[in-house]
Amino acid sequence: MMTMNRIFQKLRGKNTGQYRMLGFCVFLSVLLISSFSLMYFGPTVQDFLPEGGDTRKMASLLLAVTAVGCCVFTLYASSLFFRYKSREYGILLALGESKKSLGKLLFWEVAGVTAAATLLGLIAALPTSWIIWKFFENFIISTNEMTYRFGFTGFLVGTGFALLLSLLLGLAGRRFINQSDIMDILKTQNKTEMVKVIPSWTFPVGIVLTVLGLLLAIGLPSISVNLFYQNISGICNFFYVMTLAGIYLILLNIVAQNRLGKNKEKFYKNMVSVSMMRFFAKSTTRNMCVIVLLLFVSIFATFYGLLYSDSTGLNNTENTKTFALHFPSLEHQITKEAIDKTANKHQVTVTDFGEGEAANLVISYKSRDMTDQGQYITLENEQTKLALFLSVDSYNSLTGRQADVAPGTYKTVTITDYKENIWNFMDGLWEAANPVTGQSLALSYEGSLEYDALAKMSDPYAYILNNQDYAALTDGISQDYMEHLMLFNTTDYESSYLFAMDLLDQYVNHTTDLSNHMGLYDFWAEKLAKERGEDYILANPIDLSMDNIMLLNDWKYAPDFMVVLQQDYMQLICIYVMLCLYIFIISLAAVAIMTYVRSISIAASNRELFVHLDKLGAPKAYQKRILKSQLIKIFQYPSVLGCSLGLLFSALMCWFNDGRYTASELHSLGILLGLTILVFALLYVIYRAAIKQAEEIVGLK
Amino acid sequence: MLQVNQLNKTYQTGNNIYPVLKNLSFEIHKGEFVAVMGPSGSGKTTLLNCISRFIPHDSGSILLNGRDISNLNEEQLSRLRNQQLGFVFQDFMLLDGLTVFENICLPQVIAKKPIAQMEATVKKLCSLFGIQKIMEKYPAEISGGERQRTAVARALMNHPYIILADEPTGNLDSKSCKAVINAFLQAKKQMGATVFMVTHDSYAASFCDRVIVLKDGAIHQELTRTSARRQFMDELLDVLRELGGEDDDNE
Repeated sequence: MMTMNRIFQKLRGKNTGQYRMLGFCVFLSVLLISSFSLMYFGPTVQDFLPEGGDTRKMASLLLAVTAVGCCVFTLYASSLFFRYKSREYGILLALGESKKSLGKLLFWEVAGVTAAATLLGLIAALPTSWIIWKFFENFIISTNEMTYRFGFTGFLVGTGFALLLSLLLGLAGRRFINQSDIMDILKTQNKTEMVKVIPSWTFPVGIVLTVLGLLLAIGLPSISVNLFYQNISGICNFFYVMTLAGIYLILLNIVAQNRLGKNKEKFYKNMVSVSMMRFFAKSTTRNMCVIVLLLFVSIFATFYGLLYSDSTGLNNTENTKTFALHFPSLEHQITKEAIDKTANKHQVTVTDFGEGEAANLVISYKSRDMTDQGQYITLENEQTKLALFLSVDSYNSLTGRQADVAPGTYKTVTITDYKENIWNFMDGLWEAANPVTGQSLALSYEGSLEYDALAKMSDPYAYILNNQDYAALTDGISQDYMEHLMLFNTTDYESSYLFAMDLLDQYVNHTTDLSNHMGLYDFWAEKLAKERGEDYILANPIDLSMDNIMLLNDWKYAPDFMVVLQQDYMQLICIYVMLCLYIFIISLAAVAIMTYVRSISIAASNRELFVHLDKLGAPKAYQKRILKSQLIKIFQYPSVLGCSLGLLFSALMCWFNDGRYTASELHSLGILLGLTILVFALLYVIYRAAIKQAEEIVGLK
Repeated sequence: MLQVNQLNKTYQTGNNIYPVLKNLSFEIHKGEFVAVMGPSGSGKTTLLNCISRFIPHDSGSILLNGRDISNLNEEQLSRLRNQQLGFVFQDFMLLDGLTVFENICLPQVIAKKPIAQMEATVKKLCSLFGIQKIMEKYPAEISGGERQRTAVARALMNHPYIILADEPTGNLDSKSCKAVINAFLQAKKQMGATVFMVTHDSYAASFCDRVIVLKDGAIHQELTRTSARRQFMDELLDVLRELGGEDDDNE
């Protein structure tokens, strides 16, 4: 029975590949976004990420970028689908079928494919996110908090995205139907895009603009801060436009520039292949620009993930002990005996145990702040806050090292490999005072000592004083300002997780209001605020319970147990790495689809060119070379440009961050280089597939 | 059947305007087989595209069976193309996913005509054009001549007022060319079809009742066949030679 429905059914059967490709892209988009959302909006990650913190903002931004990436490649795939449809629709229009009924039909076809692919994507998202979660769980010590928990919100986000995608596809379909022109389809009128001559200066100017734009956008804010103490990062974002313009010029030159110059041989060799894209120079260049940006995003997302996964500082035991405790001396906290007892219970041996006192003294020091106008100003803070001071004896007994500090001077304790930042000065302290008696002492900077556990106990720094100076300054001090410190190691800290958690539990149970303060709480600053009749913003207590998974992140007296911190940190980086990995996969998927689709489009648009070449007696090998040399441009140039820019951007970010490359940054850049090679390999595979298909289209098979 | 009055068409490229058809007027009667010839750039294909309303013209009128088709809306145009015009293209424009039989069915399927009547008409047309043996084959499986005869059959499905053929023999060898011209002649003879064909092929044109020769967008000469075909072809060649060589279809 020959009906219109049967005809369309037959045509669908003939073009199942096109439906499959569109369906696959919708499926992939929905799968990626839904699995990402299931993980991100699941209770595990949501409970873990601090409310309103930067991490959430960044993760939401990454999700938005991912969604845009998915939309881009799906819409791109739909353009190929419509392209294949155009011939059928052109013939049907010429035979008198109305646009309205074709539009209706297209709507149902696209809706059917989208609905089926969306449903499959949503169903597959759950196992996918679970599998990825389990994969990352291999890298962390599994805790109850990190168990995969299903959250319905993820599905809602996935469904919302699917609806948005359907709407966009619907709009693209509507646009296709409205623009369907029989003349274009039947090719009775040659439609040519007028091409202006692309001058040769576009290439060098493009290179200069691209590199200069990046250098200025990243470097200028850093230079401005260090030389002029002025924050201009907002304005400098403008320079990224320079880079974009540069990329466009480079690609435009590559796509369309082929003039008879000195190298005549090259000109004639490339003459035909360049002509293939000349009439589509603008759209091809725009397309390549998007590919470059997507590759840039995928490389940078990876680098971002790698930076987060850098836990080298956490593993470094050179300048620290793996267990460190500090708490107010008045607090009846756990003792060495309790620690030993717990260690025995967990068959852990405590070594290098050191114990000592430290005093919180009022400091006068230099620091830097930024005004609302973005101007950096140096502040001379006179007796505004406390900092932790240790005597040389106390330092020596706690660390087992021998420090030497001359009278009237101090040494600043820093973390390992510390690089001074814009905000704090290692030599900024000029006076310390007893908070009870008011007895003060002018001090000068004598140098620094690296000791991680001690450095983290005080803001801006912990300081070491000569024994006599320390005694003079703490004479008559009340116990309210004194802290008790305990540092020790265990024989194998990596297997002491259960011991550490047991100890942490006991520590939390011994804690009273005396220790219940936020990370940056300052007893002296609160006293000054009260005297001025103001509220002290850091006065609120925190939730001191083992159920609070953010406990160690913002607690002034949080114990520093390396194995626990590493675990917490690993959980955080796993989440980050997962999110970044998603961006990488999605961007790359978009690039793969866009390059493939573009190649096929170019082959299809030039079908007649190859018929003419055949008539002119061009051998198949010559025709294949022409096709290859044109298609490879779509892969080669954007991939080299996109990956190089990603690498350059990452390298510049590292350098202008603190004016140096740390070992871990170099390591990350090395991994990135390796990854770039993998990206090239993947694109080569896509190129091979595209060439195979293109050869078939132009009749070279 | 078809009346073209004072037809004008220009193309614009950048700031340059090129007149392609200049005050063109002619008439084609029912049952006539008319060809349009002319050198490259004379406006043959543009004329055909204007008549078929694939492109709009600037001024003048086109009357099909007494009705002006210049200002039809989208829906009316679809109906016109389906019911009153039949098309035959140089590259056949058959749907690769449908068999010969199904391709021929298409105009009536679009028009939602009764199935039994439609199938009977297709079979009749296939038999008329000698393609009944390949009815179940796909376009990729048949020869160029067979494809074009399929296209002619498809064009005749809805008994259009006129068949518009754009270089129908352009992609064919001489044997296939003859078969396609025979198909037009049979359509004319047995179904009373009116055919308007753009061609650069003097051999194909020599079978026509009348040949309109265009030059620079205007009618240079009209030749009516009064003698034997071979003699008519010589006349055509003489006129074309006078115009300055062979023509082609690159317009």
